[in-house]
Amino acid sequence: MTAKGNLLDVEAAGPREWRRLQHLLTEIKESRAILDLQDDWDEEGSPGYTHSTWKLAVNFLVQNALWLWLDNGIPVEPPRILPGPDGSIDIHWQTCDHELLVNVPRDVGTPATYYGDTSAGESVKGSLDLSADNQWLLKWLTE
Amino acid sequence: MAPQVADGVNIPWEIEHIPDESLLYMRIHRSYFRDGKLIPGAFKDHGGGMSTDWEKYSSPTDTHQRARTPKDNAVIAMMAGDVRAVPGLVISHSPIPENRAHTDVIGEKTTEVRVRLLRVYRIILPIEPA
Repeated sequence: MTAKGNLLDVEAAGPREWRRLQHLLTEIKESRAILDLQDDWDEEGSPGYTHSTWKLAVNFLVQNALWLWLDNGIPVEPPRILPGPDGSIDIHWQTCDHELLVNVPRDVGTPATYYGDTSAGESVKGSLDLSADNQWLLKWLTE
Repeated sequence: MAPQVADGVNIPWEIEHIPDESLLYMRIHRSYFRDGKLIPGAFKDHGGGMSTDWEKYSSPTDTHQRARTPKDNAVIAMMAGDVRAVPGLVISHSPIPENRAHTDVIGEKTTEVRVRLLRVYRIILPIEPA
């Protein structure tokens, strides 16, 4: 049983949905460790990460996961939030049938980018306006 | 191609074509592993390209020992043909005085490229336990 467009219906969510949401929160919490990486953390000159970049990535994930849940009753599969190249943050999903990578760059003027594909050979890719409603991309993971 | 000069430095080795069936070795710092698997951020450029070593002139151990701190690095292998099959990537044998095997993987490491490269590697020398 899943919630359908009514915040009060959250109580109708099953244990599977709650586990997914809990895993998502755990991943977000643990990803803060990225901020502890100092310049040259990989011994190859990679820079550290700013709180603003990490927060931008987390906000993208939380806002779209929340709207996907509220509008469609779909709990998002928890991704991995990872250190990306040049101070960017990667958000990476790997499910049975889908793989999706979203990259949030350190430079605020550079758009976020994404690439995803399925075992059936379908793919999606492009750039993202992180301030827009992007729940369609998370929903794609469930199709 | 004849021996070359780069930045005023004589490089005694010629640039060669790397066959598709050749392996490219690449050092990966332990920070780029999660649960024993590479993360997409491992595939990035450094100085205009992603540095690897051609197996013709380097063993996995040779590659491993070139790390600043070898014990903090693994070595992976990718087949040259698999790397060339990733859209936008070009392999360029680019020997340097201290490393005849040096090879650059050139091309923007986009999100798509990094996802595809995640599918063509295998671990040759694993990370030593911390």
